[in-house]
Amino acid sequence: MQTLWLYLLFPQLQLDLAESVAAPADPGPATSTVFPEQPPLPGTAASAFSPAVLLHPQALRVHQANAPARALGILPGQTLAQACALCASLQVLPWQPILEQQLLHMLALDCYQLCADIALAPPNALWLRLDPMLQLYGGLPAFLTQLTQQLQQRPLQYQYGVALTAEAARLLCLSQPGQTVSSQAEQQLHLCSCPVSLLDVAPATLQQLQRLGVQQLGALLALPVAELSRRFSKDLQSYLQQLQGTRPPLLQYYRPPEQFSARLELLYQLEQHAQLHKPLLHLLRQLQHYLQRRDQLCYQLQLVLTLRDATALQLTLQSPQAEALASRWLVLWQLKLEALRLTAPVLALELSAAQYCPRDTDSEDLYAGRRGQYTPLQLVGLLQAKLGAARVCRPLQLAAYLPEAAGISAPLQPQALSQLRQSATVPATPVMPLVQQTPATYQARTDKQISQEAPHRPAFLLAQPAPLQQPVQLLPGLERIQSQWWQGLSSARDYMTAQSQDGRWLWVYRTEQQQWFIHGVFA
Amino acid sequence: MHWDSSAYRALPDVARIRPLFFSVSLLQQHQEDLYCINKQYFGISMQLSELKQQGYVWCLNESPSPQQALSPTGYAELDQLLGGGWPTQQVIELRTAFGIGEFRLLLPYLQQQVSRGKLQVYINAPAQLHAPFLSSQGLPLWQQLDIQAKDHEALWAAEHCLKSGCCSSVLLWQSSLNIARLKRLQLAAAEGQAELFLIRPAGPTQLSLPVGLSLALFAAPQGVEVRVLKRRGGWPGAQQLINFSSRWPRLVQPQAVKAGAAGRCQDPTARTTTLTPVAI
Repeated sequence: MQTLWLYLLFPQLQLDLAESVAAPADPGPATSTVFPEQPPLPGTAASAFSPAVLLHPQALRVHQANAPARALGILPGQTLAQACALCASLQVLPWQPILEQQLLHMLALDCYQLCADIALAPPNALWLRLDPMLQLYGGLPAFLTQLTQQLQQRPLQYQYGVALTAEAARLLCLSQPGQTVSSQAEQQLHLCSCPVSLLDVAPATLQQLQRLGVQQLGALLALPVAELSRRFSKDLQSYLQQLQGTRPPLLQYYRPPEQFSARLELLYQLEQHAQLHKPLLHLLRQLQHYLQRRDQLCYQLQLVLTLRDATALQLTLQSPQAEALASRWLVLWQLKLEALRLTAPVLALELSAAQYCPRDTDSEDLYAGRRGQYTPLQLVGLLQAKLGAARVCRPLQLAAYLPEAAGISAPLQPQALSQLRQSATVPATPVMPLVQQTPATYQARTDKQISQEAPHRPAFLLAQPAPLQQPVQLLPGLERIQSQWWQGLSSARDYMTAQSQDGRWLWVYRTEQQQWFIHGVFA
Repeated sequence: MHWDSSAYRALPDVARIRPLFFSVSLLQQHQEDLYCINKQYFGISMQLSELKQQGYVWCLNESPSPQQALSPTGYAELDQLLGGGWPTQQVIELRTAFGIGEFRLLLPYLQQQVSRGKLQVYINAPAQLHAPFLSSQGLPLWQQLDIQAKDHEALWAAEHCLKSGCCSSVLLWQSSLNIARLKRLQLAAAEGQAELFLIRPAGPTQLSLPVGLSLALFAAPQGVEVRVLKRRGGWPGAQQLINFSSRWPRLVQPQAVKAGAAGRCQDPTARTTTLTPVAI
């Protein structure tokens, strides 16, 4: 079966994209630059107007130069002194291979929307296998239109070549950018004019070929295979076989990351939490993009703030309501960051997400006329972010004998929240509205229920029983609660209802030592 | 405008002005004042008739304004006192000591709100809510939210809970509050269709707030004595005993039980005991 490959090369990957990705760090709150919704179009990037180069940090030579710099005669490979001599106002940035790799992964993720089989070709190119996808798009031109549209969303220079094998696509992209071939004969024709120096083989082999006087690929391919194998190493053999499609290419296909993680190096050191909002929003937008592509939501985010001369600060934010929208997450983060005291300036932010779930649409009551802003879970998330998770509690009833153990107030836990989620979706048990009953029937019903089923308990329980230090009037009715007799710490409490002089209804008890305590308030 | 025979009061936004009872001629003089108030508090110039239509100004010799939505309190006496029930989507102030029956006064209303399937939030409750009591009263625990927060954070939480649209009622125990804060809470309550019960300690020095309804509660042997301190669209000063003896037979003084509800499961020979403090 015939394969079809596209080789996509980004000659100035870091130079094109680094600024648009790392831009949004505001130096201060006074400058109110609005971060653009869309990255600027190609040609409008700031680097397109002023000459800029990337400097290889070890060799101290120009690694990449943008178009204005090249127009001034600055070429990759020149020393810094040469480049500076050609342009005094040259902007020099260090070449960061790690950043470039991140950018390449980002582009691979972009292209993954269009093509399933992608292989990375570090440092700055991608292979796309097209033949399984063409049926979807209805031909190569339609696919290329889609790809161009996708790539033009970023201020990016790119070139490509399409051929029947991966290696041939690379050679075509490098020698004749934009060339597409669709048959073996056509490919052979175009490859013949390729210079040998572009071949991806060991430098020694290249030198050997040049000494033989083989300048173009056509000449190399014309040589008999037996002769070649006698004079050259096996690597060239297998390379040529890959080039001609008789041997499959050794490529590792790209798989999109299971977990979202994005890092943003700031251009300025930030010292106040309010300044973090803009860069954070940038990361959250990436997250939103990531989640929306997968039709997913996420519950938990982790933010690592890299600090100057201090250990990194790690923050975790849990939202009971799974969210994808950057704006929703930003509100929670703002509340969380308000409570934060930065001990040192922030150099970089890293956002990672955990706990994903598929997005399921809420089933709201269409006729209830929803007017509020939040769902119950969003409200809980908001309160937890502002007040701290320990302060947002729910009363819980436990199967315990002692009153202080039977009813506790516990912070909302994720498992408890899932219960809230379930109960929220299940329609509430139909309770006859009070309006339709006369007060008498309602009272009779509740009265019977309460007196028969539930023990006499107060609405509020004091955290610690308080000694009774005021005259009270005891009411008839006594309940003995024998505590922990099965553990050997037996003590009996006689509970009674009492009313204090100022009319408060108290739940008091008497210990065996005739000491009196207030344990609850009926309110 | 046919307001010659009527006395007018502007509430709640001018609540700091003591209740004024205008004679006809005095009212003519105060017409300008009303417009000033109107401009100051509503920011727009409205005719008196418009104000009246929207319930900001009313005639006290007429029945309470029908625009106000009310929901029954569960106590016949209280419904009668309030002209139908609790005003909805408003801030309702209760001036009360802790423990005299104020929560039981709200309980039928909270039970009624359960069917809406929304949250009920308790902010800064003076003691821990006892879950067995709540569930025995038919309040599902998943709907209850217990929040402890500092002063200004409590107000923040109350505002967001009210605004969220997923809370049916919010109970806030808060002693200090200014008018601007209250106004925010009122708007939030209207936005989220929720009620805020603002429970403040009783005290003569407290600032009177522009709330829709303000009640003072006093302990009584057979229930709770309720006095209307302020009420939108009605006279203040009415007082009524809310009898708990049928609903809460064990939480009233026994002699009232004998007189009121016969045949209850109370021991008729039972006597109350007075206990004086013992040094521990």
